[in-house]
Amino acid sequence: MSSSAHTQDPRANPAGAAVEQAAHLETGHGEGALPTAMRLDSRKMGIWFFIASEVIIFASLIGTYIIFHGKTPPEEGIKHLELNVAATMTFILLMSSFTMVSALAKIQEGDRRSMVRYLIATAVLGLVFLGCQAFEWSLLFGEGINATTNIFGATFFTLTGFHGTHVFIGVLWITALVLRATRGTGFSVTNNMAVELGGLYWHFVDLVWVVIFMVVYLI
Amino acid sequence: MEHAHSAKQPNYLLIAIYLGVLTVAEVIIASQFPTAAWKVPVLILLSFGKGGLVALYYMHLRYDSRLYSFFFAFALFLLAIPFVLSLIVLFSNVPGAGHGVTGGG
Repeated sequence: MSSSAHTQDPRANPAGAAVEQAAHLETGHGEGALPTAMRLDSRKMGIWFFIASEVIIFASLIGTYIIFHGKTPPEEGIKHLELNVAATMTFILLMSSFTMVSALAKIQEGDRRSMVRYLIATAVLGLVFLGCQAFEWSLLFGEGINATTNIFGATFFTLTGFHGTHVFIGVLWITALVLRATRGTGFSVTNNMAVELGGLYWHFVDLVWVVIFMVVYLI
Repeated sequence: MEHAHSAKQPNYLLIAIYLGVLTVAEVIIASQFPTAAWKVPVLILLSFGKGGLVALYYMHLRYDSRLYSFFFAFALFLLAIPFVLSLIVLFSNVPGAGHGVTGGG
């Protein structure tokens, strides 16, 4: 960051210089960026701290599933899982990650209309994922397996239900971004941090599913 | 500043294709080699590969401040994974692995 970017003398007015510096921190931080001692956007740091905490939570749920894996006879548990459905869900979520990151890329190029289209596509794919999960759950319910049937049911439905809730919250978040983008207080090349933060959450949800898919359906 | 950011952007479509190919490989290995001894380590590697692609390119860890990578890596490799491994060792029935809940060890 060149010194010519500063009009405030940091020694005479440290607070004003810090605010001015915040405006130059990373692209897309135009408004509302709070300076931190580490010269990073506090909102982005906040979301990464949040993701770190979510890593612990999901690790405990996945660990619990692993511990009790094999305690239920396969014919009463994993044999009822449909790999094709789960693979389809995985492709859907991976596609949604692509549309989400494309939305961010488009607004960083100044193409607001394309960003909105990609955001809508992401939300729709998220809903399709949830629909597939509901379908899978209905298949298991039809075979007499639910959260209270056995250990497999308890751990499977807790893990996938918790993840599905996160996907649903992500869909709501993206919907809020779409609504904001279509109103006057939309996004621009210099103001798109909210899209990036939503994207980070969404990609994390996808990341968790990558692990769940392997642990639950493949191994 | 916009140009600099655009120049840093990877080919997201190519990354998506890689992710799809890795997923197909996972499904083939799981369905065609269900009892292979190498199945689990290979699947873990493939999952790490997919996760790495998502974290590095879609979550921009490759291009952002190293501090974000530190937060994520610390939570994953120094907290979550050791925690899960500890749970597995403590609560499994593997002989000699410790005192399990079900009375093993």
